[in-house]
Amino acid sequence: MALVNVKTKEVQVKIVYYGPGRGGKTTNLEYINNKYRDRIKTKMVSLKTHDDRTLFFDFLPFDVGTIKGFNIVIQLYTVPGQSKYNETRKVVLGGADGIVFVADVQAEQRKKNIESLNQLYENLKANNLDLFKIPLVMQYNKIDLRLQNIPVIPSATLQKDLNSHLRVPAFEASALNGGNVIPTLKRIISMTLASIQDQLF
Amino acid sequence: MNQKVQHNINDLITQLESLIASLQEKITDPTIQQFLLTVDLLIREFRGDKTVATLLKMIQSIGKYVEKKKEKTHQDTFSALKYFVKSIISVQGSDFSNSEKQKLLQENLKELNLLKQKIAVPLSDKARIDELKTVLLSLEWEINPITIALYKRTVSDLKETWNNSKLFCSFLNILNILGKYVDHQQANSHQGALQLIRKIYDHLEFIVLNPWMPFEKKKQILVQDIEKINIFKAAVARKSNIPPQKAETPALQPALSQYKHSIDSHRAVSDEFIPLSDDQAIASDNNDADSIETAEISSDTNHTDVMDDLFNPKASPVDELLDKIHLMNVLGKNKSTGMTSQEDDSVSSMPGVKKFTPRRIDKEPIPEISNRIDEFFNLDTMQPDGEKNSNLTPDINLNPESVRDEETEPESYFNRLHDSIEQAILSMTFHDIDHVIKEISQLDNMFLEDPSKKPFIHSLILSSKLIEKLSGSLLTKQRSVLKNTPPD
Repeated sequence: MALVNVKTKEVQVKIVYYGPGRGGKTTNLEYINNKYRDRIKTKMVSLKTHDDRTLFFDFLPFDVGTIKGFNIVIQLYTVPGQSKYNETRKVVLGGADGIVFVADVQAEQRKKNIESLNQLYENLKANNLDLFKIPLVMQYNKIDLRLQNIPVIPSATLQKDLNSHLRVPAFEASALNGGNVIPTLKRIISMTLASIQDQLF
Repeated sequence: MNQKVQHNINDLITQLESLIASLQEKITDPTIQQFLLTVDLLIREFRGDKTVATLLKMIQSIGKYVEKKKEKTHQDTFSALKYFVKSIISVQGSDFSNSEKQKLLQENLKELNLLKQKIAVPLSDKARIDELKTVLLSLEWEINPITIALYKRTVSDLKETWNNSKLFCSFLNILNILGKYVDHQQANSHQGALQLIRKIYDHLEFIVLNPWMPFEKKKQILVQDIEKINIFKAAVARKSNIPPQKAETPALQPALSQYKHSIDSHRAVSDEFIPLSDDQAIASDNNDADSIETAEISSDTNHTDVMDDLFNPKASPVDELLDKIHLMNVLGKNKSTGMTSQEDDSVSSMPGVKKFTPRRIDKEPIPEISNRIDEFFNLDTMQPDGEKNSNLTPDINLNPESVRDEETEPESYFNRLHDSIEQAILSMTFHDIDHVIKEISQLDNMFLEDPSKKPFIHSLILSSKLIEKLSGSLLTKQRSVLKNTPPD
């Protein structure tokens, strides 16, 4: 949940990038960190295994400035995608205010995307959060692979597989090249802040 | 420290000593909960004293370990707990120098490490069982010739390593039988096969990691598992007797189909879909990633150090989160999440901190939010020296000072309260009454540190509670009237 310190006038919002292993969650954060490194100023922390997979989580905090007198601090997290780290994923999801679900568009990953989203529902439930209520944005990543003749899942299929029940904003993206990374982030931040604006501002 | 506080602390420490003695005699849930609560209270009292707080954190971690292990707690745990309490008694309120405090901490840390070594399972067995788990997870992920071969080889290697333990080998035999079955049937394997492998593995892991468990109990688990495999064999045999039906490839069910019942029909929906053109998809403007810190993973200890890093100072949310993940290993899966919420509560109970749970709503963000986000992510507004937001387009709504003057001055709060009360009187709806209560709560926060306003705010809060109760009873009455009204 968003933490609001009315004394220091600070709002802390936690956004978690979730999705199947090797889907591009860390790449999203790396792109944001590199592109806005002068503006973000804080360091991205990445806890990786020896083969460069996310072990615990990635963490990128930054301060977007002031809205109506409240300083807004955004904390971006990723979860480890490998199946064996589900308990870690649950812990990282604790207190999440918004989720970006990063799906992998490669044809062979179709089932894993669905499984990962189903698991997200359960993991949020374990944290007393509801996937049908929490601010959420879909990102269909690695869309650039279609240019390399690698079989990809058509976006219409992805929408049906992943978004037919949720009906949340969805973005095709190429995290490696930065395509739609920032629009995805902007959308989830504005959705999350909009959801608390009546109570806050 | 005044006398009253000191008296309270002394009472808590005495209570802690007596609870340790009780736990040493018999570990019961109420005693352990009382113990953890007492430690928690002491941590709050010693928030400003780093030495005592660290010692208390050590006690808390051991307490969580006792909570998890219950009667399987290592017998030396209680002498270590007594040692830590004794250290707290000696250091609290004394005039120890910094170096003396440091020395005391080091001695206690040594004691803790000694205990951890006694508790920990030898790395060799832990590593072996972990290796099997990794292989098993890859098999669960995908059944293919490579994962199956790896599984069979790992089970066989373990049988060789543990050939002096009949019990371990019995579990491994079961795993071997199931592995052969999966190898033979591949993707056509009975759906329960992998689940059964996982169950058998879990039991083996439990037994390997709890060497002090009574043999009879271990044997009982094995007997139950043998029964399970017999049932499984019978189920597979029945299945193979059924004449083959026309093969059907089930279409993939969309995600969350099984949770459709949870969908709120009034929820916010959006059919917004943002495609990415081919040009955008290949236009790379990504830079190197040299500013990303990657943590090193060390594995040079002789024992599994599940409590590693728990006692380091917590400098950022990363440290806190890592602690939760580490503690997950100590406390078990469910317990760790319990602790998580406890910590979150402690943050939100800090003066002036409020929690808001964001909910997806069908509402556009106010212009100030959109403007701020657009400005932040628009790199054209950045100065060459990278000074954040310094030359962003001035926006009268976004100037913090002007906002503070207009929006956060006490008059503004009172005006808003006044407006909301008028609105509630006019509409008499629960929504507007709720709004009044929220405004009063904001005033409460506004005057947190102004003692002169406290009686006034207190009266307001009491009034808001009265309004809340009245509106609640009104709602109940309305419902009961509706219930008793016969349909037209």
